[in-house]
Amino acid sequence: MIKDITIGQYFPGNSFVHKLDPRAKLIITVLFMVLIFMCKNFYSLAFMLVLLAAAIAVSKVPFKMFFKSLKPIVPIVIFTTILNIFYVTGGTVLFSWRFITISTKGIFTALFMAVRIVALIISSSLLTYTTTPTMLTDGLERLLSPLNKLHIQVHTLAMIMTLALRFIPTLIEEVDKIMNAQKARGADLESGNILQRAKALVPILVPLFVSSIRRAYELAFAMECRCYSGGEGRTRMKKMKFGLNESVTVLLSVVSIAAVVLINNLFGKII
Amino acid sequence: MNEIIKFENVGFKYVTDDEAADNVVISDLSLSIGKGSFVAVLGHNGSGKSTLAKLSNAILVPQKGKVTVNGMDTADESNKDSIRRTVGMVFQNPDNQIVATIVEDDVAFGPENLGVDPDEIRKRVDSALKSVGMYEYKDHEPHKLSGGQKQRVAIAGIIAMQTECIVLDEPTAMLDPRGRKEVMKTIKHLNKDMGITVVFITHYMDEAVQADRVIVMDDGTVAFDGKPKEVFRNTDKLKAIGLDVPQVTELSCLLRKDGIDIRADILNEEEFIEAFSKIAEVSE
Repeated sequence: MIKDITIGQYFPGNSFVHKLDPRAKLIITVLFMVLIFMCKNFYSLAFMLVLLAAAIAVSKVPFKMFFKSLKPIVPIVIFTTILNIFYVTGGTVLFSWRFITISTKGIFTALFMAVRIVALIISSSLLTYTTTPTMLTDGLERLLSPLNKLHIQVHTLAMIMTLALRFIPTLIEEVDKIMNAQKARGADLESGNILQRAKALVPILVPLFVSSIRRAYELAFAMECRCYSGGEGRTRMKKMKFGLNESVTVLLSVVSIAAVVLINNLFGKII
Repeated sequence: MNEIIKFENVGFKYVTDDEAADNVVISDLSLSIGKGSFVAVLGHNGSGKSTLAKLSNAILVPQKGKVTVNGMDTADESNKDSIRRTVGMVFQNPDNQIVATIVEDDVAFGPENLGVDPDEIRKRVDSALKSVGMYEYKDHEPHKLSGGQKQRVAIAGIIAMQTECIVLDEPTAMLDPRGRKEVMKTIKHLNKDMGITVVFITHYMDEAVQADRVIVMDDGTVAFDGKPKEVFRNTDKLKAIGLDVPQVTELSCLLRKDGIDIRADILNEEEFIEAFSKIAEVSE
């Protein structure tokens, strides 16, 4: 399961989406996430999904990559769907037995929630698949740079993010190694109730923390040796350009806000 | 010869809470490393060879004596930046020195810190990756590479900073034989073709043999210093301080003891075959 994590994975390519400035992509993704929650009827939802599908088509990232990113959240989707079906009431009652009632509104809400969660994951995957983590954190750093005035160290935060993404696969490998080592010493990790299993994790977590601290120490040395001294005076190899392409795409996503609001009102809200 | 790193009567010990413990790692060490040379530093565990590396680019500062890089004193805080622009360092574990999630971004990290112009960084990164033979992997994720490849990326990261000297602290210790070979080839290329001074810390004899000069550390000071041929003929003394000499060197040494007149400075198989076949011809 741990190998299914797709956070920060990059899918090399040369498409329009890949080349777009990360700042524009970040803005568009956030706008998309807001919009997908603004949709109140099937028409506006369909409109947003068509936009998402178009973006995926342009990016040339194979569709199965998105299925992969959806795998770990399937239980969450199922859980919220069931919860919504039974808890939301309103509209026509379709089924009623003792305390259980299923209404049209419940079903619609459940459906919308499921689609929204899936769309959220797909859109954020599209962002990370088409943007290298370095570009992503650089973009974030620049977008948030006004916060520097509030004495928030944006560069430091961005560097922490980069390093976290960099070390996810390394630490996953490490967990694997430690688990095997503990199993070889007779540790039982797979049986017992939840409490026993949680206890069994201690001999894995302790060495993991120790080795992470050691890694951090060495990494700090290595970074210092490469003249790292914070964000000041640093340049970037990859230049960012907020040009015509970026302006147009951001403008189009702003226009789609108006479109969603319009469609919502035109065809009536169902949730 | 012009020297790039100079140790003058250097003493160093790690400070711990335990006063009584003898933590002296380096005691009265003097040596200088010439520009453009390829120096291997050998020594068993705890001989102070890693400390020597860390002293040479101001990660550690000596308590006694003086270390200078191109005449700059490492103890002077204001020199730190220029020293690290002169002496780059590659560590043992490639995983713990790669910063970025894409190979070329990692190589760019050093020059970015130096504030180099973006176009110039691009050029440096491309040529650094080409010189270690990793150019075709520039878009790859480092964690998917082999140990030897990762270590070459780490070396490229230092080359891109255009340092005059590279100190490698046991870069091959965690690699398989193939990775070791790749890294050795890269290091030799840096020294011979690009003129970069290389200080190569290792505990593999067969790697040290390939250097121009071998320094053997024992107990925090220099035990032997000279050309590989001169150093390795002292088979017995090297063994006494816990080091192994290359197998063929030991073999020829044993043969000499048995009264066979073979050269004592044989370092690799080819030399041995050549020398031995001469003896064989004579005895026929």
